[in-house]
Amino acid sequence: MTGVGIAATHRSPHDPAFIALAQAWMGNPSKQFIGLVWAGYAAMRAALPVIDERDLERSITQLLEPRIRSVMSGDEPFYIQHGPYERETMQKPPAQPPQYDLAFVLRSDDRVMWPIEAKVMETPNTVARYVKDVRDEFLTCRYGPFSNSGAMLGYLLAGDSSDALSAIGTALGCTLELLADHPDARLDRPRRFRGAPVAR
Amino acid sequence: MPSIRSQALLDELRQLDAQDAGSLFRHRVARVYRITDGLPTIYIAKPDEKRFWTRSAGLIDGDNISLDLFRWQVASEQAAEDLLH
Repeated sequence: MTGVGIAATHRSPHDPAFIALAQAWMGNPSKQFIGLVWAGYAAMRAALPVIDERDLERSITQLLEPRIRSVMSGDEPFYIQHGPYERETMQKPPAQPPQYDLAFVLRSDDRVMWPIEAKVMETPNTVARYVKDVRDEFLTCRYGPFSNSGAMLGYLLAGDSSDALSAIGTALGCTLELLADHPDARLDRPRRFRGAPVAR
Repeated sequence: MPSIRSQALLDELRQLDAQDAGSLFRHRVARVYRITDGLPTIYIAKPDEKRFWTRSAGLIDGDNISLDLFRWQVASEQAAEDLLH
């Protein structure tokens, strides 16, 4: 908006009652993100691209990103990005900041990302790397420091996805809840609260 | 400066201004978050000029509202967590 600076905008102080009602009204935004990922995946399955098997995880993810974007309207307050860096939790240089496979990024503040980490699983029992990322990256808030949720994306090469999800639940010591709209997706229950830092 | 001709609109703006400690009329652009008839309602007050009401401006308003809600949600959850410890 030409000629209107941020200082000219007034925002009423937040009302806890409003926030509680708005949250109940909006529902769980994670479901919207997961829905977009699944829709993008469906688009990819409908017209299978050439995948480089030498670098399977990155190849699939790189091809998935534009297909997720294609199922978005473009009016969302966020966009999808492949490989963004999380600088909020990076160690001192020369250490590289953590990098997400995919993330939904808030347009108003690019630091706020809903991260998605992808892992190839050769069989339903090869879940070690998947589980490690949940424990060491998500639950420590190294991933998604400004978000209270995120997602893991498993690329299962063989076997039944239900078996893989069971193995993941067992390894994490929790019950995974079925998402009704996406029978192959699961939500970690009970919800783990990590005490994510408040966005600045 | 053209005046607001709708009395109903003026009354509503005055009500919002009163609820917001008299801040509404001191800014060119204002976002007010209220519960109206049991529904979470967002009021966006901007000058009656076309450039403030384009599709792009509307999308930017949506982006900013999204950020407001996100920050408050995180702050609320953090406050709730702090109470537990």
